This record gives sequence, C-alpha cells and structure tokens, in this order.
Amino acid sequence: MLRVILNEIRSCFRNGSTLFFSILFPSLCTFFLGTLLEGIEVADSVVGELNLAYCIEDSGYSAEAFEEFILALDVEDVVSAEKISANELESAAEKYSAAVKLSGSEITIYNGTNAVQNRTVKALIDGYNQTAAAYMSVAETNPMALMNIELSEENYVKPHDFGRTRTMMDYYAVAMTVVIVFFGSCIAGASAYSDESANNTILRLNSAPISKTAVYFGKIIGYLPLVLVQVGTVMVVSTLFFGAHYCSDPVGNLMLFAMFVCSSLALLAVGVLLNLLFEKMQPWAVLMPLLWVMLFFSGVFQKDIAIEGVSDYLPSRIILDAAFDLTVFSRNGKAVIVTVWSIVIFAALIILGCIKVNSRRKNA
Amino acid sequence: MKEFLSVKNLVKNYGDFCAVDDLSFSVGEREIFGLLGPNGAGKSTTMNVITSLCDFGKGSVMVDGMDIVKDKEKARRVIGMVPQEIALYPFLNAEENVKFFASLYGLKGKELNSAAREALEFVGLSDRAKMKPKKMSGGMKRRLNIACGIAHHPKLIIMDEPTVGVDAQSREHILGSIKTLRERGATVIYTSHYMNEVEDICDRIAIIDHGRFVACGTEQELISTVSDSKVLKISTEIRSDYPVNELIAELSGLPDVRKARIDENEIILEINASRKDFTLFIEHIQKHGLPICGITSESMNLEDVFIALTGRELR
Repeated sequence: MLRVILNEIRSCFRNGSTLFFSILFPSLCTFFLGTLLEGIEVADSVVGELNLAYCIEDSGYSAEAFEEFILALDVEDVVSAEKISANELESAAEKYSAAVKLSGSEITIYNGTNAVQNRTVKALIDGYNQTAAAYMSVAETNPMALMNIELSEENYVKPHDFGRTRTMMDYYAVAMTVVIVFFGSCIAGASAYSDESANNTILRLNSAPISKTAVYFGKIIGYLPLVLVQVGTVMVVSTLFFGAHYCSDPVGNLMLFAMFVCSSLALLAVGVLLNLLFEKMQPWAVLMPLLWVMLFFSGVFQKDIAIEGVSDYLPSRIILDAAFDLTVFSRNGKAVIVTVWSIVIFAALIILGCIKVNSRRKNA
Repeated sequence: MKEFLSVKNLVKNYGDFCAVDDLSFSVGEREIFGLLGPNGAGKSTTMNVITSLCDFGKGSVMVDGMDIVKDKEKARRVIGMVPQEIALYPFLNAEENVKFFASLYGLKGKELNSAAREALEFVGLSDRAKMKPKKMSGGMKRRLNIACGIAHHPKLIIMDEPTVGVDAQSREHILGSIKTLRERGATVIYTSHYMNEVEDICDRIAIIDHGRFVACGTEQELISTVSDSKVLKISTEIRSDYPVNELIAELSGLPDVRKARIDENEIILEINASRKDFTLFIEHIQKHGLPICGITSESMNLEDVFIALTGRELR
C-alpha cells in the first residue's frame, strides 16, 4: 500500500493541471476577485473623526442607558464624546461635529457643519432608537425573557473586527478556499480510478499481487498531502501575498484549516465513490457544472444569491457559514460541527467505497 | 517438458454471450505459446482469466502448480503481464514506472533498483531511464511497456500483441527479447495479428475461434491438419522429343510422391508435407540427363491454415 500511496503523491504533484487548478488558480482568483471587487466598498465621502457632544437632562435608567451608549462609541480615536451642559448646546456646532440631547424620552440632534458627519450621527442615534424600541417591546410583551438572558456567545453577537479591517479580499479568501475544497477534492477523487483506466495502469494494478482494498486506501491516503497543500497554500498565499485576513488568532486559524481539510477529505471520498459507481463518468464534464451551480446558489461567489429553503442546506453554504462564523465572529461552534460531520461522512464513505471496490465484478 | 500452465474446461460468459467455451490447454515450461484468433474469438478473455483480471464461470487454471483462484496472490507473483495497451504513468519517468510496477511484486531496495536497471537494459532503454513516456516514440513506449511487465522476473509472461504499431527495428528488438526471455527460463504466451511473428517465435500455436480451440500444435502440425502435401517445382530444359511419360512414371513411383506432371520446362511434384529432403528427386531427374535450373517448394503457411480453419482473415 505504501508504494501506491507514494506513487499517488508523486503523480499528483507532477501533474501540471492538478497543481494549477488546485493550488495556483484559487490563489490567483482570490487576488483578482478581491482586488477587482474591493472598489465596491470604497465610500463616496469620508466621515473622518467624529467629535460628539452630548447633554442629558434627565436621570434614571433611560439616561444611564443613553450615556452608556454614547461612551461606548468613544473607541479607537474614531469617535470621541464629551458631556456638555444644556447652555452649551446652541454653540456646540462650532466646536463639535454634532451634539445630542436626551430630554425625557426625546433625543434631539444639533447638527454640525459637516453633512456627512451629521448623517453619521443620525444613523447612530437611529440605531440606538431602534434597539431601545425593540427592548421596550420585549419588556412590555415578555419581561421574563429579558431577565433570563444569559450573556453567552450564542445569544450575544460579539462584533469582532467586522467592518473595520475586513475587505472584499477577506471574503474571497474564505470563499475561494471553499471553492477549492469542493473542486479540488471532489474532482480529484472522481478522477482517482478513471485516470488509472485512461492510462491503462489499472490493468497492471489489478493483476498485481496486491489487494484492491490496499489500492483503494493507497489512493485515498495518497491524495491527503494534496488536500493539505491546496488548502494551506490558498490560506497562506492569500494572507502573505494578498493581505487577506482569516481568523485573528492562531487557534482559530488552525480550527479553520482543520475544518477545510476534513471537509476536503469527505468530498474526496464522495468523488472516489462516484468514480467507483459511475466508471465511465467524466469528472470535469459532470461534476464541474453541478459544483458550480451548488456553489453559486450557496452565495460563494455573491453573498446575496440564495434560494430560500434550499441554499441554507447546501453543503457549501454550511461550510461557508461555519468559516465566516469563525473568521468574523470568532465563534467556533459551527466549525466544530462541520469538522465532526466531515470526519463521520469520510469514514462512512470509505467503508462504502471499500465494499464497492471488493464487490466489483471482474469483466476486464 | 514440465507443464507450467494448465487450463482445464474454462468457461467464461458475458451475460448470454459465451466468450470462452470449455477451453482446455497446457503450456510447457520455457515454451513460447502463440494464441491466434480473429477479433472477438476469446483470446484476450483467456489471457485476462490467466492474469486474474477477470473472473470465470467454470473450469480451473493452474500456474506453476498453483490455482489462480485459491492461491491468487502467490500465482500472481509468478505472472508478468504486457498488455496490448500502453499501460504507463505519464508523469513518472521510465525508471520510476518500472520500479513502481516491480515494487507491487514485493521487490524493494537494491533488489528493486537492480531489477529496474536490468529490465530497462533488456529492452534497450537504459539511456532513456529518466525520460517520461510522453516524450518517447511508439516503439520506445512498447519496449517500456514490456520492461514494466518483466522487471520482477516472472516465470510466466503474458504478452498481448506487444508489437502493435511499432517500427521494424523495434519489432525485431522485441521479438529477439522474447526469445531471450525464454532462454532465461520464462514461459511466454503470445498473441499477435502478425502471422510471421507467431511463425517466427512460437514453439506451439493455438488457433481460437468462438471461444474454442480450432487447432493446436506446432506450425507443421497445424499445416498438416489442413493439408498434408506440398508442391515441389523443379525447373529444367526438356527437349520436345523427350519421353516425358517415362520420367513421370518413374517419379510417381518414388517415396512420398503423390503425383507428378510436367508443364513445359517445369517438373511439378506433389509430395508429402513431411518430406524435407529432395535429393532423391533431383538425382532421378539428373540421371535422365536433364539439368536442374531451379527448385521451389510451395507449402501452405499459417495464414492459409488460419483462413481454412476459421473462414476469416486474421485482421
């Protein structure tokens, strides 16, 4: 079996088209798509540093909540907030970007001279109002629900660094890794036996004193280094050369890598099994279009494209969601589930493939 | 001669189609056994069964005393296969291809290196060891195909049309190699569409059609199954007043002569096919004062036999 494994590895890494489509092409796609689409998120106007003044003419829970909200905006030198008295409000426009006043249940905005900054302040206050309205609504209809809230990762969205350092390149780095997981692994697996048939080497393998199971496992294990290299290369190249971001911490990145590798193995096993079931199948002609359609409706190429009730259940969407959950929100729950399921599916398919390989009628 | 391969009552069906129908034959040690048959006759199926590439319905196949079903792995170890198709990995060079296939038979380390080197040398590709098959000519690929099948020193080599599409030089090399393999102790089963190749290298030939043997034996034995006579034409100079009837009567009475006649300046004798020595006939003609200008012997060849037995040409 070791000989088959080594031969498989050697064949994989010497095949120019495999190397191109599995490793170089996705890295280049990440770069080109990321670079081309980065223009979409360039703002028409720059908000700049927001110097906000606030005045609270009230006390109690609503006043505390509002002040806490304003102070929470004062982070990383992007927004600064300063409390002023009601007398200073009229002249605040000269000194501050804008000013806001809370009086009873009313919030008043005193616009500054910069229209963009005025709109930004309005958007912030609108957000606060919407959140407060939602909270009040829950408080009126189901107050117990608010009392039972546990501040865990599951029910409390923790914005990691979304919207600040993330770019289109980051989105496509993750999306392209998903693409390569599907294309690279599934099609490589589906070519495992058809390549041997095309080269007629299957005749020699089948007549040699080596079991079919050993050949089967040799082929699967032989693809493992390619899977590791293709996922690793896309992640490393898009990070080092194209400035893409995955997870902010090494553990997260390791989990992401493990999830992609396990998913790749499961898809590799799917490909090999398909090849065993449909011996005459041309992987590029049959699987390629199917995978493209699935990836397209999973929102891999464009986030907004989805079919309600279908897209959420597509494997590519599930993997993509888990990857974004991990990279954007640092939540690893979905990634763990995908990893475990991938291992289970891989093991099940390996057993099925083994049975199929040994039950094949020999009518060469 | 020790029996090396024994096939008994072999039956192989593909659905309703019977590809091999109760076939029995044996091949002796160090014998080159030719298998001839039209397309679809069952020869490839027979070879696939022997190499255990395909299952069979009934019968038994023994290789070197081992049952290919019960002792599959051991039996496979002594068999080397050279398929009709070029069966090589395009991304491995010649040496790597040979080494990989030989390693499947348990060779490793120095033994593997030396076997690969020897096989490449044997087929004349030592200087192309690092060349990949896609850069090789058709003849070189064929030779490499052979090297991959013989590197592990098999005792039984199955060669399915190993000279298809190769130039005359490579063909000569391949045929010479097969004879050498036999000299080294290998038993060879050989199929080809080239009748002259089979005539040239095979000790015995079997003609297969519709999954059955139509005839089996040496070339002469096969010819004799169709015709046991041959024609000897002796050119001479016969005067117009020469008593030809007397000469014809005398020649007709000689041993192995079935019929004698004279056609202008040519004496035509139909003699037994087994007769190899023509001295007696020549001496009698010379005794009559007739000069010998030339002698030709025309007998049936394997192709004639094949057409006569199968009703079809080989290709």
